[in-house]
Amino acid sequence: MSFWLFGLLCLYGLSAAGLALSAVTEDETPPADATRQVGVLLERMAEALRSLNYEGILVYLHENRLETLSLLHHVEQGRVQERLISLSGPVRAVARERDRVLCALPDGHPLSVERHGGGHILATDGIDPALLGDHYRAGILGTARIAGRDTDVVGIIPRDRLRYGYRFHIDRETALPLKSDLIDEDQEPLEQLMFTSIVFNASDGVTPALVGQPVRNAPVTESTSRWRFNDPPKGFQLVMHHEIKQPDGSAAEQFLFTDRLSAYSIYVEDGAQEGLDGLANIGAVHAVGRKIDGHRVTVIGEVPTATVEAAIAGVRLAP
Amino acid sequence: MTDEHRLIDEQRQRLSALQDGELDPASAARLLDALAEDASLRKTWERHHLIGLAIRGEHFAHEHRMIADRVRESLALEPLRIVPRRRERPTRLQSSSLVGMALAASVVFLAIFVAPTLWQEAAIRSSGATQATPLASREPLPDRMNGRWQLDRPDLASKLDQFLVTHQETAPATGAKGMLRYATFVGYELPR
Repeated sequence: MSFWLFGLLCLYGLSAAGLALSAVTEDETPPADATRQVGVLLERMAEALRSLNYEGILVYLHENRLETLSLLHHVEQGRVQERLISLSGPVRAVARERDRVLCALPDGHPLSVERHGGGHILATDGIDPALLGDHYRAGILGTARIAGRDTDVVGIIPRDRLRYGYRFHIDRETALPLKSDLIDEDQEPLEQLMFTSIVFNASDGVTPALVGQPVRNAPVTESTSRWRFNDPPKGFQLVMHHEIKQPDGSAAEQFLFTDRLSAYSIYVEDGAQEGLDGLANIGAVHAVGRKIDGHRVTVIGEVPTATVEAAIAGVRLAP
Repeated sequence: MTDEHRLIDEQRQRLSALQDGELDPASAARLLDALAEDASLRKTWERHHLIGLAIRGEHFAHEHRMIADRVRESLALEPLRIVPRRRERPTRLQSSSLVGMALAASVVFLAIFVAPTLWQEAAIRSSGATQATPLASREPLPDRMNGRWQLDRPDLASKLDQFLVTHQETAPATGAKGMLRYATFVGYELPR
């Protein structure tokens, strides 16, 4: 027990550091060169995450708790296989392949989510800081050493309390994010993920193809259903709407809103379905649900409580 | 009891442990291997889930019976193992000891190698360092049960899990995090 306490204290040290954002201040707009430089780093990072073969151990700090995770990312002939397994506490696992995600949680249904192809998927094409300026400030914060490797530290800081931002420690050699912090408007870390060890394996050089429209520039769309979304949280726009089939065979409509970095989904189901009434959260992921016009509506996303509450407040069924 | 029966009995006990979240990761990997190769074990796994659903009074649909096959198909396509196989299967006691030692080693590793990194990081930015604060606190939600999603209804928590995974797969807005976006999903252990 004392070992774990010490581990926690170690990570608190990181929080205490606070990683001041000296390069980009509240009112300062970063010069175009700096934005371009951040863009290049983030693009390299997204490419590295997609195409490299690596496995490692991570620590995950959230709400005064410390978890250890094992990550495997394997690319062979352009096909990606990924696994994330908890090493502390009950075994929880997510395995992801090209067309399917499998999740195993204790005391829960085994989940299997199929990916339906390019038409319904927004690609993980990285982050374009030039498109985020209205709602985030992006900048290079300095350098640090993580897992014994030199990293460049990039911050994407939210300008308001309706979204979260990130601080990435990007490995200079491979461009992998060796440490990722989820941060709030005050740059305070909400959750921290850090590799404590990582091994890179040889790659066959076949890069996985990007499928679908990148979320960073997905076109804004209009709701084609009877549902209307008045006054969504500032900066969030509807970019996708489709119908999903649930494990019990029932259908639900999914509406996806994004500000080009953060996102939430609004699910609308038949009113007879059991569902969430009020607020719930798991870490930084918040959800809110209620019945609206005889239907069950649930909003969920890695956004603050205020955002999901604002989102559900504007949901209306058109007459 | 024959050796074969003893082995089957052991595997069933491990299935129960896996579903209770009490199986260590190394044993889980071996069990997943066995599930991939043994149809009767997969049926047992499926039955255990259905029994769990019934005990918890949750609704279950026929479609759930297909889960095991879908997992098996995916495992069959998966050439990698979570951990290397061992030649000798450790006893439960040995296994527990090894896991304990591994955890202790991990923490010692953290203490020796990670802490200096963190403190070095603090030193790098000492000019801008603010008062020591732990992780930022979030807006408190109304008091609920201690279950996943702070809900005392596993069926509802499962539904939110399904919505979350669908959302994350459909909208990898934080795609730059790759698989790490599932850390929230996997990394949340409930107090036991």
